Amino acid sequence: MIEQALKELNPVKEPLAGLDAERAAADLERILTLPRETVAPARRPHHAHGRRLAVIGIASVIAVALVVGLPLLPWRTAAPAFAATPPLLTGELATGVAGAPAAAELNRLAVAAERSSARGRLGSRFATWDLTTRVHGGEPVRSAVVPLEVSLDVAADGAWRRVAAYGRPVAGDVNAAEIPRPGEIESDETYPRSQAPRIFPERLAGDPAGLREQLAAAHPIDDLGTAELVVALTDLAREQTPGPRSRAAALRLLAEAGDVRQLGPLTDRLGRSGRGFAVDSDLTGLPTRYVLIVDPQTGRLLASEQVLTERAGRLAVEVPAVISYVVFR
Amino acid sequence: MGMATGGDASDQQRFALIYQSNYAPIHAYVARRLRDRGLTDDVTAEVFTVAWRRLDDIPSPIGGWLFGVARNVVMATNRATVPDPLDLVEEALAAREADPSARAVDRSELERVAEALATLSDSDRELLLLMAWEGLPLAQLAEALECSVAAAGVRLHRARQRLRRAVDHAGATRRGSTSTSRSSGTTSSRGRSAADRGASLPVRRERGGRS
Repeated sequence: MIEQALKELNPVKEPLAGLDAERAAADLERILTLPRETVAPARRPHHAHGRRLAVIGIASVIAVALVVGLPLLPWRTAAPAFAATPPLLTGELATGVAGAPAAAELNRLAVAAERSSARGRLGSRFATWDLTTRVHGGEPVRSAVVPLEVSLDVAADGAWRRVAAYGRPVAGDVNAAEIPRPGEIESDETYPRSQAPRIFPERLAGDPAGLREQLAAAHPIDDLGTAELVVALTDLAREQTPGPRSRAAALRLLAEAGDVRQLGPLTDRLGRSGRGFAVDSDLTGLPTRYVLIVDPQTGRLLASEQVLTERAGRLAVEVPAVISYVVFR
Repeated sequence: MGMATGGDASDQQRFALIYQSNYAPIHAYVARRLRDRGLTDDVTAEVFTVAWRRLDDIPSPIGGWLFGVARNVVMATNRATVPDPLDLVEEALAAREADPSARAVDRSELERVAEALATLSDSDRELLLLMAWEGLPLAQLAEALECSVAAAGVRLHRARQRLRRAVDHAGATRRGSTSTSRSSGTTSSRGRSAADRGASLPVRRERGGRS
Protein backbone atom coordinates (compact mmCIF):
# COMPACT_ATOMS: atom_id res chain seq x y z
CA MET A 1 0.00 0.00 0.00
CA ILE A 2 2.76 2.43 0.94
CA GLU A 3 4.59 1.97 -2.35
CA GLN A 4 1.40 2.56 -4.29
CA ALA A 5 0.55 5.61 -2.21
CA LEU A 6 4.00 7.06 -2.84
CA LYS A 7 3.50 6.64 -6.56
CA GLU A 8 0.11 8.31 -6.39
CA LEU A 9 1.61 11.25 -4.53
CA ASN A 10 3.99 11.93 -7.41
CA PRO A 11 3.20 15.54 -8.37
CA VAL A 12 4.57 15.18 -11.90
CA LYS A 13 3.21 11.97 -13.33
CA GLU A 14 3.78 12.86 -16.96
CA PRO A 15 7.30 14.21 -17.41
CA LEU A 16 6.68 15.17 -21.01
CA ALA A 17 3.55 17.19 -20.23
CA GLY A 18 5.31 20.17 -18.68
CA LEU A 19 8.16 20.50 -21.13
CA ASP A 20 8.91 23.58 -23.17
CA ALA A 21 10.66 22.06 -26.17
CA GLU A 22 11.78 25.42 -27.54
CA ARG A 23 13.35 26.38 -24.26
CA ALA A 24 15.06 22.99 -24.03
CA ALA A 25 16.50 23.34 -27.52
CA ALA A 26 17.68 26.88 -26.87
CA ASP A 27 19.37 25.78 -23.64
CA LEU A 28 21.18 22.98 -25.43
CA GLU A 29 22.43 25.35 -28.07
CA ARG A 30 23.68 27.75 -25.44
CA ILE A 31 25.32 25.08 -23.28
CA LEU A 32 27.27 23.73 -26.23
CA THR A 33 28.91 27.12 -26.69
CA LEU A 34 30.13 27.19 -23.09
CA PRO A 35 33.75 26.38 -22.32
CA ARG A 36 34.48 22.96 -20.92
CA GLU A 37 37.16 22.24 -18.37
CA THR A 38 40.07 20.17 -19.49
CA VAL A 39 42.35 18.26 -17.26
CA ALA A 40 45.93 18.95 -16.27
CA PRO A 41 46.21 16.99 -13.07
CA ALA A 42 49.90 16.26 -12.81
CA ARG A 43 51.10 19.81 -12.20
CA ARG A 44 48.20 20.90 -10.09
CA PRO A 45 49.00 21.33 -6.40
CA HIS A 46 46.26 21.11 -3.81
CA HIS A 47 46.35 24.77 -2.90
CA ALA A 48 45.27 25.71 -6.40
CA HIS A 49 41.79 24.50 -5.58
CA GLY A 50 40.41 27.77 -4.25
CA ARG A 51 41.87 29.82 -7.09
CA ARG A 52 40.47 27.47 -9.66
CA LEU A 53 37.01 27.56 -8.21
CA ALA A 54 37.15 31.33 -8.07
CA VAL A 55 37.92 31.34 -11.76
CA ILE A 56 35.10 29.02 -12.57
CA GLY A 57 32.72 30.90 -10.35
CA ILE A 58 29.66 28.78 -10.88
CA ALA A 59 27.70 27.89 -7.83
CA SER A 60 26.44 24.62 -9.14
CA VAL A 61 29.92 23.41 -9.92
CA ILE A 62 30.95 24.27 -6.39
CA ALA A 63 27.99 22.37 -5.04
CA VAL A 64 28.83 19.33 -7.07
CA ALA A 65 32.50 19.55 -6.18
CA LEU A 66 31.73 19.77 -2.49
CA VAL A 67 29.02 17.23 -2.26
CA VAL A 68 29.53 14.71 -5.00
CA GLY A 69 32.81 14.69 -6.72
CA LEU A 70 35.40 16.17 -4.41
CA PRO A 71 37.65 13.15 -4.19
CA LEU A 72 37.28 12.43 -7.88
CA LEU A 73 37.77 15.80 -9.50
CA PRO A 74 40.90 15.87 -11.61
CA TRP A 75 42.65 18.84 -10.02
CA ARG A 76 42.55 17.16 -6.66
CA THR A 77 44.36 14.03 -7.78
CA ALA A 78 47.76 15.64 -6.96
CA ALA A 79 50.82 13.63 -7.74
CA PRO A 80 50.05 9.90 -7.58
CA ALA A 81 48.15 8.50 -10.52
CA PHE A 82 46.94 5.66 -8.35
CA ALA A 83 45.84 5.77 -4.75
CA ALA A 84 47.93 3.77 -2.32
CA THR A 85 46.31 0.52 -1.27
CA PRO A 86 47.37 -2.11 1.25
CA PRO A 87 49.29 -5.13 -0.01
CA LEU A 88 47.27 -8.23 -0.75
CA LEU A 89 47.36 -10.92 1.87
CA THR A 90 49.08 -14.09 0.75
CA GLY A 91 46.45 -16.50 -0.48
CA GLU A 92 43.68 -13.91 -0.48
CA LEU A 93 43.02 -14.34 -4.18
CA ALA A 94 43.38 -18.11 -4.23
CA THR A 95 40.81 -19.81 -6.42
CA GLY A 96 39.63 -21.74 -3.41
CA VAL A 97 36.89 -24.29 -3.25
CA ALA A 98 33.24 -23.37 -3.18
CA GLY A 99 30.40 -25.45 -1.87
CA ALA A 100 30.58 -28.47 0.36
CA PRO A 101 34.23 -28.31 1.46
CA ALA A 102 33.79 -24.72 2.65
CA ALA A 103 30.56 -25.71 4.37
CA ALA A 104 32.26 -28.59 6.14
CA GLU A 105 35.04 -26.35 7.39
CA LEU A 106 32.60 -23.64 8.49
CA ASN A 107 30.50 -26.20 10.36
CA ARG A 108 33.64 -27.50 12.04
CA LEU A 109 34.47 -23.97 13.12
CA ALA A 110 30.91 -23.54 14.35
CA VAL A 111 31.38 -26.51 16.66
CA ALA A 112 34.68 -25.03 17.86
CA ALA A 113 32.91 -21.74 18.54
CA GLU A 114 30.24 -23.44 20.62
CA ARG A 115 32.88 -25.22 22.68
CA SER A 116 34.96 -22.09 23.07
CA SER A 117 35.14 -20.33 26.41
CA ALA A 118 35.67 -16.97 24.67
CA ARG A 119 32.63 -14.95 25.67
CA GLY A 120 30.89 -12.29 23.69
CA ARG A 121 30.91 -8.64 24.62
CA LEU A 122 29.36 -5.40 23.54
CA GLY A 123 31.73 -2.88 22.03
CA SER A 124 34.64 -3.49 19.73
CA ARG A 125 38.26 -2.62 18.98
CA PHE A 126 39.43 -2.62 15.42
CA ALA A 127 41.72 -1.06 12.85
CA THR A 128 40.00 -0.14 9.64
CA TRP A 129 40.79 1.42 6.31
CA ASP A 130 38.69 2.11 3.26
CA LEU A 131 39.72 3.53 -0.08
CA THR A 132 36.69 5.68 -0.66
CA THR A 133 36.18 7.26 2.72
CA ARG A 134 39.66 8.06 3.94
CA VAL A 135 39.59 11.79 4.45
CA HIS A 136 41.73 13.99 6.67
CA GLY A 137 40.97 17.66 7.18
CA GLY A 138 38.54 17.61 4.30
CA GLU A 139 41.16 16.19 1.96
CA PRO A 140 41.21 12.66 0.60
CA VAL A 141 44.34 10.85 1.65
CA ARG A 142 45.61 9.00 -1.39
CA SER A 143 49.34 8.77 -1.04
CA ALA A 144 49.42 6.41 1.93
CA VAL A 145 47.28 3.82 3.62
CA VAL A 146 46.44 5.24 7.04
CA PRO A 147 44.13 3.03 9.07
CA LEU A 148 41.84 4.28 11.78
CA GLU A 149 42.09 2.71 15.20
CA VAL A 150 38.56 2.56 16.54
CA SER A 151 37.38 1.73 20.02
CA LEU A 152 33.71 1.38 20.81
CA ASP A 153 32.92 1.05 24.50
CA VAL A 154 29.48 0.36 25.87
CA ALA A 155 29.05 1.46 29.49
CA ALA A 156 26.95 -0.34 32.07
CA ASP A 157 24.14 2.16 31.53
CA GLY A 158 24.16 1.42 27.81
CA ALA A 159 25.87 4.66 26.76
CA TRP A 160 28.22 4.42 23.81
CA ARG A 161 31.58 6.07 23.38
CA ARG A 162 33.28 5.70 20.06
CA VAL A 163 36.76 7.06 19.56
CA ALA A 164 38.60 6.88 16.26
CA ALA A 165 42.25 7.86 16.03
CA TYR A 166 44.58 7.73 13.07
CA GLY A 167 47.04 4.89 13.12
CA ARG A 168 50.46 4.55 11.56
CA PRO A 169 50.52 4.44 7.78
CA VAL A 170 50.97 0.89 6.57
CA ALA A 171 51.63 1.39 2.86
CA GLY A 172 52.34 4.04 0.27
CA ASP A 173 54.32 7.21 0.96
CA VAL A 174 54.50 7.08 4.72
CA ASN A 175 56.28 10.45 4.81
CA ALA A 176 53.73 12.31 2.72
CA ALA A 177 52.85 15.72 4.10
CA GLU A 178 49.12 15.18 3.82
CA ILE A 179 48.83 12.21 6.12
CA PRO A 180 47.66 12.71 9.70
CA ARG A 181 49.84 12.16 12.75
CA PRO A 182 49.46 8.76 14.40
CA GLY A 183 47.24 9.15 17.43
CA GLU A 184 45.46 12.22 16.11
CA ILE A 185 41.79 11.91 17.00
CA GLU A 186 39.53 11.67 14.01
CA SER A 187 36.32 11.61 16.04
CA ASP A 188 35.19 11.16 19.63
CA GLU A 189 31.48 10.60 20.03
CA THR A 190 29.34 9.74 23.00
CA TYR A 191 25.72 8.64 22.83
CA PRO A 192 23.26 7.99 25.63
CA ARG A 193 21.70 4.57 25.44
CA SER A 194 18.52 5.85 23.81
CA GLN A 195 20.44 7.45 20.97
CA ALA A 196 23.20 4.93 20.41
CA PRO A 197 23.52 4.37 16.66
CA ARG A 198 22.97 0.70 17.07
CA ILE A 199 22.46 -1.50 14.07
CA PHE A 200 22.02 -4.83 15.80
CA PRO A 201 20.21 -5.89 18.97
CA GLU A 202 22.26 -6.49 22.11
CA ARG A 203 20.86 -9.97 22.46
CA LEU A 204 21.74 -11.94 19.40
CA ALA A 205 19.96 -15.09 18.38
CA GLY A 206 21.80 -18.35 18.87
CA ASP A 207 20.27 -20.11 15.90
CA PRO A 208 21.04 -19.41 12.24
CA ALA A 209 17.48 -18.50 11.24
CA GLY A 210 17.04 -16.08 14.12
CA LEU A 211 20.41 -14.49 13.57
CA ARG A 212 19.77 -14.14 9.88
CA GLU A 213 16.56 -12.30 10.62
CA GLN A 214 18.41 -9.93 12.94
CA LEU A 215 21.13 -9.33 10.38
CA ALA A 216 18.63 -8.80 7.57
CA ALA A 217 16.84 -6.04 9.48
CA ALA A 218 19.41 -3.57 8.18
CA HIS A 219 21.16 -5.60 5.51
CA PRO A 220 19.11 -6.84 2.55
CA ILE A 221 20.74 -10.25 2.44
CA ASP A 222 17.85 -11.78 0.55
CA ASP A 223 18.20 -9.22 -2.24
CA LEU A 224 21.96 -8.91 -2.41
CA GLY A 225 23.17 -12.37 -1.52
CA THR A 226 26.05 -13.82 0.42
CA ALA A 227 28.34 -10.80 -0.02
CA GLU A 228 25.78 -8.76 1.90
CA LEU A 229 25.79 -11.44 4.60
CA VAL A 230 29.56 -10.96 4.84
CA VAL A 231 29.07 -7.20 5.10
CA ALA A 232 26.46 -7.70 7.80
CA LEU A 233 28.73 -9.99 9.84
CA THR A 234 31.54 -7.47 9.49
CA ASP A 235 29.29 -4.64 10.63
CA LEU A 236 28.16 -6.80 13.54
CA ALA A 237 31.75 -7.33 14.66
CA ARG A 238 32.26 -3.56 14.62
CA GLU A 239 29.54 -3.35 17.24
CA GLN A 240 30.09 -6.40 19.38
CA THR A 241 31.81 -9.75 19.66
CA PRO A 242 28.97 -12.26 19.50
CA GLY A 243 28.86 -14.98 22.11
CA PRO A 244 29.71 -18.62 21.32
CA ARG A 245 26.24 -19.63 20.15
CA SER A 246 25.79 -16.61 17.94
CA ARG A 247 29.27 -17.04 16.50
CA ALA A 248 28.37 -20.61 15.66
CA ALA A 249 25.11 -19.48 14.11
CA ALA A 250 26.96 -16.95 11.96
CA LEU A 251 29.37 -19.59 10.71
CA ARG A 252 26.48 -21.94 9.92
CA LEU A 253 24.78 -19.18 7.96
CA LEU A 254 27.90 -18.90 5.84
CA ALA A 255 28.01 -22.68 5.50
CA GLU A 256 24.43 -22.71 4.24
CA ALA A 257 25.15 -20.08 1.62
CA GLY A 258 26.72 -22.46 -0.90
CA ASP A 259 28.86 -19.88 -2.70
CA VAL A 260 31.46 -19.39 0.00
CA ARG A 261 34.95 -20.41 -1.03
CA GLN A 262 37.45 -21.91 1.34
CA LEU A 263 40.87 -20.27 1.10
CA GLY A 264 42.62 -22.37 3.74
CA PRO A 265 45.05 -20.83 6.25
CA LEU A 266 45.36 -17.05 5.98
CA THR A 267 47.39 -14.65 8.09
CA ASP A 268 45.72 -11.34 8.85
CA ARG A 269 47.35 -7.91 8.97
CA LEU A 270 48.17 -8.34 12.65
CA GLY A 271 50.04 -11.56 11.93
CA ARG A 272 47.37 -13.83 13.36
CA SER A 273 46.70 -17.12 11.68
CA GLY A 274 43.14 -18.03 10.80
CA ARG A 275 40.95 -19.81 8.29
CA GLY A 276 40.13 -17.85 5.19
CA PHE A 277 36.83 -17.75 3.34
CA ALA A 278 35.77 -15.73 0.34
CA VAL A 279 32.68 -14.74 -1.59
CA ASP A 280 32.97 -13.29 -5.08
CA SER A 281 30.32 -10.78 -6.04
CA ASP A 282 29.74 -7.86 -8.35
CA LEU A 283 26.93 -6.35 -6.34
CA THR A 284 28.77 -3.03 -6.18
CA GLY A 285 29.14 -2.99 -9.94
CA LEU A 286 32.77 -4.06 -9.79
CA PRO A 287 33.82 -7.70 -9.35
CA THR A 288 34.85 -7.85 -5.73
CA ARG A 289 36.11 -10.57 -3.43
CA TYR A 290 34.83 -10.40 0.14
CA VAL A 291 37.26 -12.16 2.45
CA LEU A 292 36.74 -13.26 6.04
CA ILE A 293 39.42 -14.63 8.35
CA VAL A 294 38.11 -16.69 11.25
CA ASP A 295 39.94 -17.73 14.41
CA PRO A 296 40.13 -21.56 14.29
CA GLN A 297 39.90 -21.91 18.07
CA THR A 298 37.03 -19.57 18.90
CA GLY A 299 35.23 -19.04 15.59
CA ARG A 300 35.62 -15.31 16.14
CA LEU A 301 35.97 -13.01 13.15
CA LEU A 302 39.56 -11.80 12.99
CA ALA A 303 39.45 -9.75 9.83
CA SER A 304 37.38 -8.80 6.83
CA GLU A 305 38.56 -7.40 3.53
CA GLN A 306 37.27 -6.40 0.12
CA VAL A 307 39.43 -6.83 -2.95
CA LEU A 308 38.72 -5.58 -6.46
CA THR A 309 39.63 -8.50 -8.65
CA GLU A 310 39.11 -7.59 -12.29
CA ARG A 311 38.64 -3.91 -12.92
CA ALA A 312 38.64 -0.68 -10.98
CA GLY A 313 35.95 1.31 -12.77
CA ARG A 314 36.53 4.95 -11.90
CA LEU A 315 38.55 4.15 -8.80
CA ALA A 316 42.16 5.15 -9.28
CA VAL A 317 43.72 1.88 -8.20
CA GLU A 318 45.52 -0.91 -9.95
CA VAL A 319 43.70 -4.21 -9.73
CA PRO A 320 43.82 -6.50 -7.94
CA ALA A 321 43.52 -4.03 -5.10
CA VAL A 322 42.44 -4.21 -1.51
CA ILE A 323 39.89 -1.42 -1.21
CA SER A 324 38.80 -2.00 2.35
CA TYR A 325 39.90 -3.90 5.40
CA VAL A 326 39.16 -4.21 9.08
CA VAL A 327 41.06 -6.22 11.65
CA PHE A 328 39.39 -6.89 14.96
CA ARG A 329 41.57 -6.83 18.05
CA MET B 1 44.03 24.48 -16.28
CA GLY B 2 42.97 24.47 -19.85
CA MET B 3 39.65 25.74 -21.06
CA ALA B 4 38.27 24.49 -24.30
CA THR B 5 35.54 26.46 -25.96
CA GLY B 6 32.60 24.32 -26.78
CA GLY B 7 34.46 21.02 -26.98
CA ASP B 8 35.00 19.12 -30.21
CA ALA B 9 32.32 17.75 -32.48
CA SER B 10 32.30 14.28 -30.95
CA ASP B 11 31.90 15.81 -27.47
CA GLN B 12 29.01 17.91 -28.70
CA GLN B 13 27.40 14.94 -30.38
CA ARG B 14 27.74 12.81 -27.27
CA PHE B 15 26.39 15.53 -25.02
CA ALA B 16 23.48 16.28 -27.33
CA LEU B 17 22.50 12.63 -27.16
CA ILE B 18 22.71 12.64 -23.37
CA TYR B 19 20.71 15.84 -23.24
CA GLN B 20 17.94 14.61 -25.48
CA SER B 21 17.69 11.26 -23.71
CA ASN B 22 17.64 12.68 -20.23
CA TYR B 23 16.07 16.11 -20.42
CA ALA B 24 12.51 14.98 -19.62
CA PRO B 25 13.31 12.85 -16.56
CA ILE B 26 15.71 15.43 -15.15
CA HIS B 27 13.22 18.23 -15.76
CA ALA B 28 10.55 16.19 -14.01
CA TYR B 29 12.92 15.48 -11.12
CA VAL B 30 13.62 19.18 -10.68
CA ALA B 31 9.93 20.07 -11.02
CA ARG B 32 9.00 17.56 -8.33
CA ARG B 33 11.49 19.05 -5.89
CA LEU B 34 11.10 22.76 -6.60
CA ARG B 35 7.47 22.94 -7.67
CA ASP B 36 8.15 26.18 -9.51
CA ARG B 37 7.79 26.06 -13.27
CA GLY B 38 10.01 29.00 -14.14
CA LEU B 39 12.74 27.96 -11.78
CA THR B 40 12.52 24.38 -12.99
CA ASP B 41 13.57 25.33 -16.51
CA ASP B 42 16.50 27.38 -15.20
CA VAL B 43 17.70 24.73 -12.77
CA THR B 44 17.40 22.00 -15.37
CA ALA B 45 19.60 24.07 -17.65
CA GLU B 46 22.08 24.43 -14.81
CA VAL B 47 22.14 20.67 -14.29
CA PHE B 48 23.06 20.11 -17.90
CA THR B 49 25.60 22.90 -17.79
CA VAL B 50 27.36 21.04 -15.01
CA ALA B 51 27.08 17.83 -17.00
CA TRP B 52 28.62 19.54 -20.03
CA ARG B 53 31.54 20.79 -17.98
CA ARG B 54 31.99 17.34 -16.50
CA LEU B 55 31.43 15.44 -19.69
CA ASP B 56 34.62 13.45 -19.17
CA ASP B 57 33.29 12.23 -15.83
CA ILE B 58 29.99 10.99 -17.16
CA PRO B 59 29.89 7.21 -17.01
CA SER B 60 28.61 5.15 -19.87
CA PRO B 61 25.87 4.14 -19.55
CA ILE B 62 24.96 7.27 -17.65
CA GLY B 63 22.65 5.45 -15.20
CA GLY B 64 21.76 7.55 -12.20
CA TRP B 65 24.75 9.89 -12.43
CA LEU B 66 22.75 12.81 -13.74
CA PHE B 67 20.24 12.53 -10.90
CA GLY B 68 23.13 12.92 -8.47
CA VAL B 69 24.12 16.15 -10.21
CA ALA B 70 20.51 17.31 -10.31
CA ARG B 71 20.11 16.64 -6.63
CA ASN B 72 23.09 18.81 -5.78
CA VAL B 73 22.10 21.62 -8.06
CA VAL B 74 18.59 21.61 -6.61
CA MET B 75 20.03 21.68 -3.09
CA ALA B 76 22.27 24.60 -4.08
CA THR B 77 19.21 26.67 -4.94
CA ASN B 78 18.09 26.56 -1.31
CA ARG B 79 14.60 26.40 -2.68
CA ALA B 80 13.84 22.71 -2.31
CA THR B 81 11.38 22.19 0.49
CA VAL B 82 9.71 19.33 2.23
CA PRO B 83 6.54 18.87 0.21
CA ASP B 84 3.45 19.87 2.12
CA PRO B 85 1.64 16.61 2.76
CA LEU B 86 -1.77 18.05 2.17
CA ASP B 87 -0.71 19.66 -1.09
CA LEU B 88 0.55 16.34 -2.32
CA VAL B 89 -2.66 14.63 -1.38
CA GLU B 90 -4.86 17.27 -2.98
CA GLU B 91 -2.88 17.06 -6.19
CA ALA B 92 -3.03 13.30 -6.18
CA LEU B 93 -6.78 13.38 -5.72
CA ALA B 94 -7.16 15.95 -8.47
CA ALA B 95 -5.09 13.80 -10.81
CA ARG B 96 -7.25 10.83 -9.92
CA GLU B 97 -10.33 12.70 -10.99
CA ALA B 98 -8.69 13.39 -14.30
CA ASP B 99 -7.88 9.72 -14.72
CA PRO B 100 -10.54 7.62 -12.99
CA SER B 101 -9.01 4.42 -14.33
CA ALA B 102 -5.91 4.92 -12.20
CA ARG B 103 -5.48 2.49 -9.36
CA ALA B 104 -6.50 4.38 -6.27
CA VAL B 105 -5.39 4.35 -2.68
CA ASP B 106 -7.84 5.46 -0.04
CA ARG B 107 -7.58 9.17 0.79
CA SER B 108 -6.82 8.58 4.45
CA GLU B 109 -4.02 6.24 3.47
CA LEU B 110 -2.60 8.84 1.12
CA GLU B 111 -2.68 11.37 3.91
CA ARG B 112 -0.90 9.05 6.31
CA VAL B 113 1.85 8.30 3.83
CA ALA B 114 2.21 11.97 2.86
CA GLU B 115 2.45 13.01 6.49
CA ALA B 116 4.91 10.25 7.26
CA LEU B 117 7.03 11.25 4.29
CA ALA B 118 7.33 14.77 5.64
CA THR B 119 8.73 13.50 8.93
CA LEU B 120 11.60 11.55 7.37
CA SER B 121 15.13 12.83 7.04
CA ASP B 122 16.02 14.47 3.74
CA SER B 123 18.21 11.54 2.75
CA ASP B 124 15.56 8.94 3.51
CA ARG B 125 12.92 10.90 1.64
CA GLU B 126 15.17 11.44 -1.34
CA LEU B 127 16.02 7.77 -1.52
CA LEU B 128 12.40 6.68 -1.40
CA LEU B 129 11.28 9.26 -3.93
CA LEU B 130 14.08 8.54 -6.36
CA MET B 131 12.70 5.05 -6.51
CA ALA B 132 8.97 5.81 -6.34
CA TRP B 133 8.84 8.96 -8.46
CA GLU B 134 11.87 8.72 -10.68
CA GLY B 135 11.61 4.96 -10.97
CA LEU B 136 15.33 4.41 -10.52
CA PRO B 137 16.43 0.82 -10.02
CA LEU B 138 18.83 0.07 -7.20
CA ALA B 139 21.98 0.29 -9.30
CA GLN B 140 21.04 3.75 -10.54
CA LEU B 141 20.06 4.82 -7.06
CA ALA B 142 23.56 3.92 -5.98
CA GLU B 143 25.01 6.01 -8.79
CA ALA B 144 22.82 8.96 -7.93
CA LEU B 145 23.84 8.76 -4.29
CA GLU B 146 27.49 8.00 -5.06
CA CYS B 147 27.53 4.87 -2.99
CA SER B 148 27.80 1.15 -3.59
CA VAL B 149 24.79 -0.88 -4.63
CA ALA B 150 25.03 -2.70 -1.34
CA ALA B 151 25.00 0.54 0.60
CA ALA B 152 22.08 1.83 -1.45
CA GLY B 153 20.23 -1.40 -0.75
CA VAL B 154 20.79 -1.09 2.96
CA ARG B 155 19.82 2.57 3.00
CA LEU B 156 16.68 1.88 1.01
CA HIS B 157 15.74 -1.00 3.25
CA ARG B 158 16.13 1.13 6.34
CA ALA B 159 14.37 4.12 4.82
CA ARG B 160 11.41 1.88 4.02
CA GLN B 161 11.38 0.62 7.58
CA ARG B 162 11.39 4.16 8.92
CA LEU B 163 8.64 5.19 6.54
CA ARG B 164 6.56 2.21 7.60
CA ARG B 165 6.99 3.15 11.23
CA ALA B 166 6.20 6.77 10.48
CA VAL B 167 3.05 5.75 8.61
CA ASP B 168 1.97 3.69 11.60
CA HIS B 169 2.74 6.62 13.85
CA ALA B 170 0.86 9.01 11.58
CA GLY B 171 -2.11 6.67 11.76
CA ALA B 172 -1.97 6.62 15.53
CA THR B 173 -1.60 10.39 15.65
CA ARG B 174 -4.51 10.88 13.34
CA ARG B 175 -6.66 8.47 15.30
CA GLY B 176 -5.75 10.34 18.48
CA SER B 177 -6.46 13.76 17.04
CA THR B 178 -9.84 15.41 16.76
CA SER B 179 -8.54 18.00 14.33
CA THR B 180 -8.24 17.35 10.65
CA SER B 181 -7.24 20.85 9.75
CA ARG B 182 -4.41 21.36 7.33
CA SER B 183 -2.17 23.13 9.82
CA SER B 184 -2.65 20.70 12.66
CA GLY B 185 -1.87 17.76 10.45
CA THR B 186 1.38 19.25 9.30
CA THR B 187 2.45 20.49 12.69
CA SER B 188 1.80 17.25 14.49
CA SER B 189 4.10 15.32 12.22
CA ARG B 190 6.86 17.88 11.91
CA GLY B 191 6.82 18.88 15.54
CA ARG B 192 7.55 15.42 16.80
CA SER B 193 10.36 15.16 19.31
CA ALA B 194 13.70 13.64 18.50
CA ALA B 195 12.92 10.79 20.83
CA ASP B 196 9.71 10.08 18.99
CA ARG B 197 11.64 10.06 15.77
CA GLY B 198 14.28 7.79 17.20
CA ALA B 199 14.20 5.59 14.17
CA SER B 200 15.15 8.56 12.02
CA LEU B 201 18.19 9.53 14.02
CA PRO B 202 21.32 9.50 11.93
CA VAL B 203 23.03 6.20 12.35
CA ARG B 204 26.74 5.99 11.97
CA ARG B 205 27.73 2.75 10.35
CA GLU B 206 30.90 1.56 8.83
CA ARG B 207 29.93 -0.69 6.04
CA GLY B 208 32.69 -2.72 4.60
CA GLY B 209 35.47 -0.65 6.00
CA ARG B 210 33.90 2.73 6.10
CA SER B 211 35.80 4.68 8.66
